[in-house]
Amino acid sequence: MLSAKVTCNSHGQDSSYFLGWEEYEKNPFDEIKNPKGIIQMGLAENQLSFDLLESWLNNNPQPMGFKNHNNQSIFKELALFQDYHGLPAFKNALVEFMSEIRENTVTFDPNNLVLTAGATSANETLMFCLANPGDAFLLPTPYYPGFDRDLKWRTGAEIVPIHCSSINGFRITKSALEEAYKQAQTQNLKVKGILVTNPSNPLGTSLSLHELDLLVDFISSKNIHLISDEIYSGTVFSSPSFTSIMEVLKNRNLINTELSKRVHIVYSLSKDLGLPGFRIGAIYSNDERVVSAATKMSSFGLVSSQTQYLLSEILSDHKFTKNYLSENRRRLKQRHEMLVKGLQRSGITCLESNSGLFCWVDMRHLLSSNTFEGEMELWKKIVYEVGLNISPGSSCHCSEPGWFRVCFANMSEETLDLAMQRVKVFVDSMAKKMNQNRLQQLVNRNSRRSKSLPKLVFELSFHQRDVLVDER
Amino acid sequence: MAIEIVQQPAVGLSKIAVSETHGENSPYFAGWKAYDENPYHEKHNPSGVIQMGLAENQVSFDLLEEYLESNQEATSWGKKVSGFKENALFQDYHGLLAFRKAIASFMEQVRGGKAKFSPERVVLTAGATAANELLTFILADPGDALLVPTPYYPGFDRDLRWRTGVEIVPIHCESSNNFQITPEALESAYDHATSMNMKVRGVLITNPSNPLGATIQRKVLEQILDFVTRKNIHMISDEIYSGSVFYADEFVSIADVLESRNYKDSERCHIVYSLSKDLGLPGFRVGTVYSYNDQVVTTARRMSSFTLISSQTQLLLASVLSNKEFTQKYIKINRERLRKRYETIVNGLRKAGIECLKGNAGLFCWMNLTPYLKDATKESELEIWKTIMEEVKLNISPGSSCRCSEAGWFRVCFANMSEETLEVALRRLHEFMDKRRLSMAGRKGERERGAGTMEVIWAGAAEEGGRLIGERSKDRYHFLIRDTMASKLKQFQSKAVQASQFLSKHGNAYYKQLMEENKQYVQEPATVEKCNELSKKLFYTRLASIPNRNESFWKELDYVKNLWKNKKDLHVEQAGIAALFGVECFAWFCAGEIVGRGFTITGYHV
Repeated sequence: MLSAKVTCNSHGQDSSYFLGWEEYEKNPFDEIKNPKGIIQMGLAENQLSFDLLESWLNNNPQPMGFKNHNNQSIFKELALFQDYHGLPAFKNALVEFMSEIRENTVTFDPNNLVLTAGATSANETLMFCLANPGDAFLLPTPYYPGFDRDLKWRTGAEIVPIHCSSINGFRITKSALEEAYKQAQTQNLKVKGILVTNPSNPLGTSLSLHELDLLVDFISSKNIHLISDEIYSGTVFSSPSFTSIMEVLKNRNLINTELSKRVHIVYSLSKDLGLPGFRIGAIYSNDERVVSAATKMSSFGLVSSQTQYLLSEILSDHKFTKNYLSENRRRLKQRHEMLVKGLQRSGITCLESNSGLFCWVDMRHLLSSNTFEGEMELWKKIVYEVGLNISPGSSCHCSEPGWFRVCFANMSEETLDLAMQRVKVFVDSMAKKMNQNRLQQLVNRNSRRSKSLPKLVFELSFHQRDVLVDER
Repeated sequence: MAIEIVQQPAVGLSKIAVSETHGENSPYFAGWKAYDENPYHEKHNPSGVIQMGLAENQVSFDLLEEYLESNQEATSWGKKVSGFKENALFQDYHGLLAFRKAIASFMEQVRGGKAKFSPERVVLTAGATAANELLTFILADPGDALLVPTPYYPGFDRDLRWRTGVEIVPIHCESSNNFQITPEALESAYDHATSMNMKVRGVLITNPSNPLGATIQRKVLEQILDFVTRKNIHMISDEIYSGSVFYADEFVSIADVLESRNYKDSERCHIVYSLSKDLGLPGFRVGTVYSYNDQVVTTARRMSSFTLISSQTQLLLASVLSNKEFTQKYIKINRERLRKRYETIVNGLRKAGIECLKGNAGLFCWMNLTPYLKDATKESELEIWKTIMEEVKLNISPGSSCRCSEAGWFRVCFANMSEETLEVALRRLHEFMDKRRLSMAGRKGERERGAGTMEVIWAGAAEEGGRLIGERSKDRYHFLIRDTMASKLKQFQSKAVQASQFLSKHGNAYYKQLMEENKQYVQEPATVEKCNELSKKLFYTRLASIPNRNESFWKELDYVKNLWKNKKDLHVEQAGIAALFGVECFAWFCAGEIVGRGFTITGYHV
């Protein structure tokens, strides 16, 4: 009696990924009330710079109380404002903020901007605009687990993975792109575009100039679209600095060409300003047809005018935004270091990264087998025994088992410290157990068949080598 | 069906992106453009276009503003230090519990408290637009159909069809029974869908109806519920105007019907609600799906990720709506104010000679201009609409934009402006109608003389009737007319003969000129049947409007009396007015009969 969308599982919310969340909800960590509870490290939230926003709000109480600068009430005006073009003041402030993040190397035209209720809605809207049911978009793996819902569920579009691997630090290569394209063709899917997250969620790395060039060349030769999801662009905390796809277009003199019309950017204030509750997302497109269709579609997910007004006031305070961006980056960098070093003490390494609210953590050496079952097994131990909710790579469609996304910006330093201690205890005990097991196995196998020894030796060295490689 | 543009570049956009199913290029939006280009302003642009196409509720803002002024903590993040942080981070798609509770209890309050609403079933969406689309995604697959009674809110073409690929099959409702939904109309829409090989997944109603501005009777709701149960399909009841019903006891929600049936078959029922109309907060984007079906609730929550409400706004409204004393007062005063506005507009239109469907809810009335249409076609409707937009400078919504199956109806909004502006709009319409009647009546009088129909008699009747009635006191005229008219009818007829003689003697020169100027209006062939039909249309429509038209009656009477006094100057157009007046007089006579028969003669609530 219900639609196929109800019974299909492409919203992905029954995946094991959500088990960790459920577990966390049942037993959440609290410094005082529940010090043994599960620490939430699966949530890419930015809580590091709220004090900056709070102090701005304290100094500027008018916009909260629906007052303008002359202290007159604009409640009625705002309550009635439902133009899907958005508040002009807000759009102007938002494009300026986007330019500022890109160090003013590029400018954005507010007329090309469409406001949506969060990036979730922005991505789906773009998919509705660009792909018919059954058409495919290519996405480099690992990718944000929510994309299965955002891009596929209601649109009927398909995702074909561009397989990236640890060998080159999960970089996008020409051959991986070609392979994915071929893969789609063999599945009889029409490829309508590529979607990348830059900086990448879950990798925490921004795309290199080389990768960006590769992407532009690829969409040019295949005549397809490129969606660049840049919702973490304000979180790039160390070098190399962030390069937006817009800068590449500009540097290659492609602005206002047919190709530039096939490039679309997604942005949001959920990560860079840490305001996911306010549901502010945006689409920036160079194709006026996309802008027009997406604007009409935005009726299905407009941003509250109350919130638009507040943010237009915050973002048009350039002194504040400048200070916020640099201070926020500094704090993220510090946190990132804390996590990387903390894990290092347990012999765990992370993919080298420069952005985001998380690290891409290599725990392959802790797997009981180099499979996704092994990954699941380890993940469950980490959730239930260690008491950390982190995201397994498989939930991000990573093609190699043993990688995990660990968030670091949604908790206090003390909590992060505690998490690191728990990891250390776990890894130490595991090493002890593993050594015992291996020794036992070695003894057993030796006594049965001496032939299997070389394989085991290889297995051991495999893990050791990886650890060394990632420690560079 | 969607009109699809053939794509030029090799890599196109999606069919959805280039389809016209969103309906925003319909003529309906031309009116908005006209308004945007030249908006009325009391002082700065008093001859600008008045926006009467926008169902906005501005009559009760003072109450909200007053509340916020005296409860300033509502607009801040509370006393807790971490208030802002917690709120800014809150993105749980279940929504703030305090807010869901507040909405559920507000919905209960609006419906009189009989049917209970559980916060667990409240799914929040960014507006009713999203709520309706979301339900369509959940209940139907592409190519399936939803049955929607006409006339319906123009936005449904976008909301229900555009991205979902679902089709709307109209349930045709007609003026003959006040556009009520009948079991026959339901069946016939269902059969129509089936014959087009579409799977019907549900019926969607708006209750109170947009654009009719009337609530749906309990009996009709029962019939629809029986129908959807028999066909094993869903029922969506869009009740976003439920708090805008003028008298609380005139609204029956589907929730009330379900309650009285002990929630039997309730799993197929889903309610859409919003705070855009009842609280007048469209900018805040607060909508909700309230479903009695667990699986729908779960799926709708997941889908609501695409359309969540700002946590800042949730917090604010949780605070406002949790104050029962305030909401109670708000609902009551808002109803009263809307009722008063409605009465202003309906009476004003009546004075201008225009009738509306009897309404009891909403921010608009459903205005009947069928008597003034050249013919009963969409083209004529759009022609008069265009005239009203360009000459009268009012942006109203033509019935065709609401897929009304009869031409000549218009939705006119009254709550998005000040009382003064409403008065200006009514004055403009009155003047326009006077002019229009003048030219119509001229044409009519002439045609009828030529066709030798009975209507000319009324011209004579007018003289006598006018004299008689003119001498009566206003409050007693009802009975007097009935009595005196009956006894004088014979005399009227002889006067009518005189009148027609007079017309044939003096009318010729004017006649030729007039016919040359207005030949496009002449009915060809001018069969007696056709002329009778036209005159009947006019007659009955006028008839339907009688009892409350005292004031305009007296005004017209003076005008006619004046004409008759100077009858040596009388020319054809004025004779037409007189003829029309005659129709009225006879109608007054009939009014007595109608009252006696219980107000049922035309199907209008007289």
